[in-house]
Amino acid sequence: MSRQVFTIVGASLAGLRAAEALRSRGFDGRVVLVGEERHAPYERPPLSKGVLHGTVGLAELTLRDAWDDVEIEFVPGDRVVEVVAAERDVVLASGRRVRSDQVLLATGGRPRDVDLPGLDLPGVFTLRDIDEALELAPLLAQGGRLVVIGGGFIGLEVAASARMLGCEVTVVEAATVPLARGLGPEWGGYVAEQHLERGVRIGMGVGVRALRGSGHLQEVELEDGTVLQADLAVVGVGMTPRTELAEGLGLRTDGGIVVDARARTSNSHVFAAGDVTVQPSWSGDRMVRYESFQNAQDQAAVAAAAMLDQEPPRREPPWFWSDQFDLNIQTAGELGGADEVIVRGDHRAGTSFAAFHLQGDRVAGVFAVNRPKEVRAGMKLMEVDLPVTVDELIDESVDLRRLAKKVVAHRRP
Amino acid sequence: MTMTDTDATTTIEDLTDWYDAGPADEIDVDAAVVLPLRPPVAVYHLDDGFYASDDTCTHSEYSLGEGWIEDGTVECELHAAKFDIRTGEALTLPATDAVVTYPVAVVDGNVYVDLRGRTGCIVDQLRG
Repeated sequence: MSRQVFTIVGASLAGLRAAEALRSRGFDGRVVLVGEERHAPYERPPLSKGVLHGTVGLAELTLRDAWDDVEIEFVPGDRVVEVVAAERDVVLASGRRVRSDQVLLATGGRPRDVDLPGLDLPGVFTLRDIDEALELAPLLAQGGRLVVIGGGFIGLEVAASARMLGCEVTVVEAATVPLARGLGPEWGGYVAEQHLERGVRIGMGVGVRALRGSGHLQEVELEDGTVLQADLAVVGVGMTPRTELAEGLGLRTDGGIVVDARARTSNSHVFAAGDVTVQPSWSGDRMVRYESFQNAQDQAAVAAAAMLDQEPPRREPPWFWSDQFDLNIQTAGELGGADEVIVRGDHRAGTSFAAFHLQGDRVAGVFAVNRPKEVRAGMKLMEVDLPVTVDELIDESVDLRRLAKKVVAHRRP
Repeated sequence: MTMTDTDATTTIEDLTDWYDAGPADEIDVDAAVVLPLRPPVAVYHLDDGFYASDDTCTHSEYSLGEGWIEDGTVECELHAAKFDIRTGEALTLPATDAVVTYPVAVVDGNVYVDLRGRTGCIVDQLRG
């Protein structure tokens, strides 16, 4: 019998992690990993931080550049143009075809298109891959005027980095509060406040009408008629999942490739992982697209297990981090639908606190600034699903990690 | 984070150049202490004994000794990179490099770390 072939489309975090997990789980067939970029897989979170600061480059961010020891056939700089359903032929732009027993789609997303005049002017950037970040970094280092269009996590991270580099920064956000979709209005407002205190200007509740300039970006005109002088603009208004191959295969898509909790699509030989998927949420009551490092890494391992018909690894509560200025912002679980929010530390006067979002007497979500320990403890409390008291959460002398671990130890047979 | 078995023949004299990390019973199981060295070293207590590694995560500047310890692993709480405490191996991204480990001995209820016994050395010159 010839060796099985598992082909992974997309060589960023999810694709790489799935390939490695197939090997560590004992798969002895061929693993083909196709990436559109010419680079080996690399870590993306620093693109809006360390890379812009000039402190890290591609070499530091490369996640793997040795392939022989894991026997992964890495194909960089080629793009999958079609997956033929009947034979599961993966067709590359170069003309190569890889007949595959199983296919994993880890195609991620592209910056969401916006329809604005002047987007093609020099000086206007999006930020999704390292080439863009490396091009933007030296320009920001010159300390000019930057307009960030979109107050999401990437936009605010770019704003913070640019401000730290001495740029004059304005963030324009169409919603009335930035980050409201992910964090809710209170914590989104908190983060906005921190930016204002550090000299970032934020225009909220206003859209952009046009980008203008002759030969290079010079100004950004807002819908209310305001004109911002600008040397650079970064458009960060979210991402569009790359579902074209999935659609070509006739898979179910709905704001992403629809998968179940084991990363299986509506085709039994095709799996999907990472930013491109919508999956059952942690609480199980809806379908969500988790655009996070954690999800890319963990769902890839889940997909590898499913491809091999093995038991999936244990699921952890969703977790996300963002580093902005001196703030390590973390969120875990689900912040929406809380009955009560209990804050440990002081969020009105400072940058060190953890807010526990309770549903009944259970921790359902945590939002924290410079309190990673409390977040990890909160995640464990969510996982074991046992009651906590308000006193325990508020009292700084109660070690929540110890509390969570005692619960775990207690429940172990 | 290799563990030197404490057998009856090991005496305190054998450990003259080892660093005194303090009483064993002051470190709970699945907890760690950080030794104030340059660079700092974390000493972990697992259910089968004591282990030590460099304290600084190989991914970003943060203390592993402050991390989440469970099932023989430590997870950096800044970005969730996870390491095998016994071997130093990086188990999850974003970490790709193993963390340096040290031999540990427990004699008369006290924990000692052999700072010269570092394995996977990448920053040796820092501690001149």
